[in-house]
Amino acid sequence: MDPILYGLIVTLFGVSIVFLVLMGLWGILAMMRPLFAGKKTQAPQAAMKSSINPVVAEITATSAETEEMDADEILAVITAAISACMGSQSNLIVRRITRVGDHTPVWSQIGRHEQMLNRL
Amino acid sequence: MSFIYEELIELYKSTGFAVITWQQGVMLALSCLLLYLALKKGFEPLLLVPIAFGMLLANLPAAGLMDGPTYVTVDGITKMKDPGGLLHWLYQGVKLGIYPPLIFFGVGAMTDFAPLIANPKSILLGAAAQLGIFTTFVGALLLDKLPFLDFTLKQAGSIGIIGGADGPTAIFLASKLAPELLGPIAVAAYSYMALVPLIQPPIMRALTTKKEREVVMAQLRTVSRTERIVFPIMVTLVVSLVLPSAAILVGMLMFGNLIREAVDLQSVLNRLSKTAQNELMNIVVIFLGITVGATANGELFLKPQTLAIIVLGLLAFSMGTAGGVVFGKLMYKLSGGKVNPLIGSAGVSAVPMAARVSQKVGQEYNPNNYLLMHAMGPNVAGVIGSAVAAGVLLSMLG
Repeated sequence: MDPILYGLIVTLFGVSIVFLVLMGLWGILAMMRPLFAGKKTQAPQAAMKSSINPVVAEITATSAETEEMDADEILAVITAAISACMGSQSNLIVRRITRVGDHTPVWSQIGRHEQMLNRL
Repeated sequence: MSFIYEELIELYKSTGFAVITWQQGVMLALSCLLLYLALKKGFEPLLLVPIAFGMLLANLPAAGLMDGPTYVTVDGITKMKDPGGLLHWLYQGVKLGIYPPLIFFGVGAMTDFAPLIANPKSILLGAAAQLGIFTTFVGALLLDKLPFLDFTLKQAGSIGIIGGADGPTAIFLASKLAPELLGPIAVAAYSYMALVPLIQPPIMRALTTKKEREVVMAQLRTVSRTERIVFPIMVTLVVSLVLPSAAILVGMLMFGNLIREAVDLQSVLNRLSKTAQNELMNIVVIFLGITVGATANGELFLKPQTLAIIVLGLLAFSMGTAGGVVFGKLMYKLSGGKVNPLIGSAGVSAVPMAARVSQKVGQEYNPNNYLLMHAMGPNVAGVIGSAVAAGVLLSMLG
């Protein structure tokens, strides 16, 4: 048989088998969930879905406003927070606040994000 | 005086300078370049350093580190005259297909399949990204039309597997189907894996719209301990029963994962899990890397075929990425916009680099978007998918 023709047959069979095997695993994984997932993991999931969507929607809706928020307000909040940490006796004067880039590794960011979502 | 002169000539003749070929010279320079890329630029240093140094050792003139043993027959009795080079014996682990499954064992012990179990449909992205393997396989066969290139079916299959973006799978299949191409295939596979952050983003951007790239996916559910433990056993049974030729790779991958997950049940297994993830993995990586590099012999490596493999490898990675992203777009449409197509590119294995690329590109368009764990699903599915694809090629071409 012509090698190219045989190659096309191998390709057809190969792609089909890869999809069939992985679709089979998908089906089994989907069936596995009701059997082994346990009640504890399912209940928060349902609750989480309903709680996450409004939060996401709210963030999206207010993101434009947040960008335009008066910078003085943010400065006041940061100054108040630092003053609270340092105590009432400190003569704190904020001269400049510079936003620095977040250099946290992406894995840590994801972990933090998931922790927050799990507590919503 | 002539005696000293003759001795000096003899001494010179016994050095590598007298017998070095131009191919060995080029390979030594190439190995130094790869060492530079690995050490200075951080191109997969864990594997590229052993591979490059193996290449350097194997191309040292007159050293014979990759030479096999020689025998003499005296009075009808065959005796070993020379035991051969160290790298020749270490290479038997590649030739007999021992190292790649051991690497899979370690990879399994290090991999968390929970994102895949939590979102099982993402497994299809791992299947779609294997498109690169098969299109490159056909592409290599079509190159037969060129006068200086002539890839057999087995060689084309070995080149295609580069698209799986999975080093051990590529080495395993190449050692079975086309051991003569092992060096170029391994170098191409690991080089492109290091270049995933450069190769994938332009393809991902070209195939998706801004709206699709900004999709925020719902958080994954928590996966129970029982699911985590049943998963490796179930995958081994299903894949091995359907495709016995993939049993060794998938079986070892899942064995490693079972040990990892079962630690919660039997803490004594922690010893095995740690060994699989660290000591065993590191030892095998050293042996595999140095011996695969040692197959890059100048006479075999410096051919037009190698250049073709490098080009085809890039095609394989690109097509695999495109396959995953296009299937991701399909899932985006079918799910009513709940799936971000960017996670499709992670289906090409290259764990976890490809998933990090999905995260990075996604965050460029929506800083509040965290796609990493969603991309880890197709990413680990890609490992299973490429092992299945290797099994198919092995059973149909082997």
